[in-house]
Amino acid sequence: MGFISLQFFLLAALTLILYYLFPKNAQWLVTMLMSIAFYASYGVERLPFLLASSLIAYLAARKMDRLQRETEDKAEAKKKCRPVLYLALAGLIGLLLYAKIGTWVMQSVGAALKIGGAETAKAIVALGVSYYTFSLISYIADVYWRRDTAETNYLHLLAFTIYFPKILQGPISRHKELAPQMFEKHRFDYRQFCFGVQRMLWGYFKKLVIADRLAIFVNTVFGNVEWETGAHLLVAAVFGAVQSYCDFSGCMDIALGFSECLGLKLAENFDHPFFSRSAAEFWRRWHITLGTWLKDYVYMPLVISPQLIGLSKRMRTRFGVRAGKAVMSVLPLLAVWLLTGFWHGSGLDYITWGLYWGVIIILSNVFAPEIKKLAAALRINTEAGSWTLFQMARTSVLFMVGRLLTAFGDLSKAWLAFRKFFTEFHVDGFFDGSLYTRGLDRPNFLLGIVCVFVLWAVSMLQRNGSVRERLAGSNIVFRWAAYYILFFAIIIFGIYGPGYNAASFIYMQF
Amino acid sequence: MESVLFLCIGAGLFAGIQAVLTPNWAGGDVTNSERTITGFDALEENSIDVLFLGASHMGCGLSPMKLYEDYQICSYNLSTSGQRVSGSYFLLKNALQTQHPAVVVFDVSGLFERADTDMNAQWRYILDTLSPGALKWEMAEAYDKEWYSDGKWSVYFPVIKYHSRWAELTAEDFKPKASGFYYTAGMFQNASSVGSPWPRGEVESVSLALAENTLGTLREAEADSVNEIYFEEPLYAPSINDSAAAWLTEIAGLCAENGAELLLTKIPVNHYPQYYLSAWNTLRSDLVQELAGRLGSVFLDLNYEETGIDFSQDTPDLGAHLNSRGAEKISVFMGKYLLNHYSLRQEQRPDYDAALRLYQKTRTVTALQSATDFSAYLRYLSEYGQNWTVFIAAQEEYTSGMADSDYRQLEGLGLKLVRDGNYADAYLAVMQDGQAAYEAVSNRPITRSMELGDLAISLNSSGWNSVSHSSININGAEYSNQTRGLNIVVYDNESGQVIDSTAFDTFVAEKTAFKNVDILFYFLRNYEETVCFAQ
Repeated sequence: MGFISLQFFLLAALTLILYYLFPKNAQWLVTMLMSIAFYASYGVERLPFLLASSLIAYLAARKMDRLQRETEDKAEAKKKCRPVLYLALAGLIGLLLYAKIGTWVMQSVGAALKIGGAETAKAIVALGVSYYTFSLISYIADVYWRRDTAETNYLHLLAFTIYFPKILQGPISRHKELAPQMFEKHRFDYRQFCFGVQRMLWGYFKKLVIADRLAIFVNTVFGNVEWETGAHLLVAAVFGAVQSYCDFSGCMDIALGFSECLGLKLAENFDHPFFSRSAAEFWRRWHITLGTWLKDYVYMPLVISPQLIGLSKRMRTRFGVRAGKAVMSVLPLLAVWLLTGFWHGSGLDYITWGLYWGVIIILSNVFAPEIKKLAAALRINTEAGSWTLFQMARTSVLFMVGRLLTAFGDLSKAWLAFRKFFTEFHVDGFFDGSLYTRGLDRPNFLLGIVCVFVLWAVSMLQRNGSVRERLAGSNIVFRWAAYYILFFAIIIFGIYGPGYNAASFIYMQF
Repeated sequence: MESVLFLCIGAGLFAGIQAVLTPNWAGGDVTNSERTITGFDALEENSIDVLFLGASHMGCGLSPMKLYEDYQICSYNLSTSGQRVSGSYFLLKNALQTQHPAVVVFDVSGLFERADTDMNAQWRYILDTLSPGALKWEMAEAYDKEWYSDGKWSVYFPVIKYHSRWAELTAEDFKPKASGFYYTAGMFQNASSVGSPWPRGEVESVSLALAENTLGTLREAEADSVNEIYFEEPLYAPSINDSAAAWLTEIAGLCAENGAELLLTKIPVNHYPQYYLSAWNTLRSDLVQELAGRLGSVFLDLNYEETGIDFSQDTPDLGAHLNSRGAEKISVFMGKYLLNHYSLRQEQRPDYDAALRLYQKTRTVTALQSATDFSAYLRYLSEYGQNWTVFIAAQEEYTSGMADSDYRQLEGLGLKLVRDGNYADAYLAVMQDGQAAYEAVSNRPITRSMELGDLAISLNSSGWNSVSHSSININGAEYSNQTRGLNIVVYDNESGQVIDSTAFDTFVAEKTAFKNVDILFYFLRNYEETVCFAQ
């Protein structure tokens, strides 16, 4: 039961009805039960893994909470809590690794030990395991650092962990932000409900009309990279970037929009990433909750770790201040980006992808003074709008290149695609009609381009404030026309139904 | 209040958009399912005595209007393209809500449907046309079981299935859905004539041989000997599909409950089993006979009855179906059979009388379109040509194959110069309202432009001595077949449509007819649209 299914619509409608019909103090129970039903629809056998993870986190947090209350000295309490934290982390990460590499380990070990049937052994992959594991890690870490309070009711933690709008693709919610909202009493708010529905519709538009349409072209071209020209690969790369954005952010809009209908505010995961002027800024605007999670629970702990501080001091003494500073940023960034790569996939292509971004960001950090000097020497007006546009285009190109590394599931094919940009471009591929033979016919291809422009126009409007607020303030004819157009655009132009095999959300696999 | 209004307008828009996006099965498929089903709904209650059901064989092969014309039997042909036996069951169930036929005649082709054949469209012809209600829902459930990828929801919300048609919408999609009585009472008019090249005996012996052949042989490049494997299934499997047989049992039950006799029949076909799943032979006939016995029904296999069908002329597609002429022959036979074996009312009804007048009008067109014999064609021009304008343009050579009788027939139409033509001469003629309006013959190319009412005509004929060309251009569109001999185009003055374009190769004695079947199909549909459906 994905977000694009009749069952989901029925479940969502039922949740909304029961949520507002039930006594206010039991609303969280409705979301929990509905979430369990949603989760179980993917297979009941996955549920024990989520229950186990949430139980580990619950017990660890309770234990640490008790230790913290029993021990007056904070440093002493922290020391006592540390084994509990590490044990819980080991448990959570162990379950995550089982899902991520369990199949590979079982098959490899089985084959090495010549265990019969090992080649078909398969690990049960709990749905949304990366998302809820990261959420739970942040929960126990925050309890350890006394930034959050431990739940006294396991069901409360379960309700937070399994909350269905976020379980498939995030956002990676923080317990201290979402849980208090879940246990508040929510009255039906018509305006809030309408805003939520509008956001869901916009999400469906991005997913069904744009992402899934472009995906047809992208998959066709990338699936035949050996036979494609550089021109077609370039179009597929551009479409692929937009597809990734619309797919992921569309799903987020649906999740956030539905939560808004319930009066819950989930963390934003996107902030117009293609308007970013640098790689670092891009990743502050793309999958925001993953970025902030890595910053808070990987980067910062590394930066303030005594080992790194010691190393930095030694570097400063031996090679100067700049070297000492560089170490403080290079090593944590490298760790963060390797982890980001691994989070997205365990293959070499994803590790390379992580390193690619890590190196770009590290180099731009380390050589920031030189870059600034160079711009000044070339007399580039870095305040001009054209320079901003150039920076945005450059960032987008970096994203496209990065995506190509993982688009084929095979680095040699990615290398082939890069070569073709320079050796077999064939510019006539743009004009000879062959673009319309790659899964999308002419009307669908052109519609895809029109929709990308619509996306751009709406994004521009969003930069100047809430489009929904402005729409709500406009006259009734314009407002209703906008709603109808959006709704019927999804109905008519969406890629769904038996005529198509609607692609599942890209980020669901994580 | 505002929200209610918003939702009401939205629902209206949704219904309208869905209706436009849902294909209009009124002509796109080969049996005009939409008109057939909506036409049935327009019947007065309890007005028919015989109901015909089945796939395209029945849809094209039996004319209720001919039954009415000759025997005053009121009947309806509720067949649709590729109708599955399950589809027949639901249509029958629907029909029995308003009608009480004495006989239900079912064509058994569907019994041999293959489970692995994609029949989704054939389900949809019916499902998309049936009025909403419990029966439609019941059929949707059955559809859901067989075509789960579509799902029953796509029946009530067809936009789920058809929304991607937005890029292929035409003006036709914006027209209202067909309604009112269908002037053929369900029969699909198919006028063209493309004879079956296979003798009946050959079809029979080939299908028997294939039905016995379970041996597979393989000689691989590196192998010394031939590898032989026996398969469970022969190359041509005449077995009845279990699911179809079960649905037929349901049909028999429905008939029994409603006091209707079930007559199983097989409309004649004469096609090769290798090329056509519905090819027929005695093996199939025997199996159906056995099944009919078990159901307590009669099986009338028209393939082996003296119906007068001539597969060199009475088929539009090499023997797979019957054309309108063949359908009339079957209807005459069926009428006699029904009257001899069942107690039927014979009465005249105003709605059938009105429909018959349209049917008779259209028959002049179908007769002309299906005529492949030169003499018969000229006879139709003479009999029905009072409201027609006929254009004749010779190309290359038109005299060598002409007999004196041919010239006399043409002269009977008022064409005085046609006999004057010499070898490889050009010849042009225009006949209006049964009389020659223009005629010319020459050993040089002839070009003539004229205006006839609103028509801007441009004619051209040239013989083998010049450029061997012909042209019959009406209001800017070329209609001549542009082949050797006499190219004839017939324009109907009443409908304002071209209704036929045929070339007879009069260079040879056989005077072979050349017809573009697709264009004739289009002419006939246009004629029906203008004359019959506009009423």
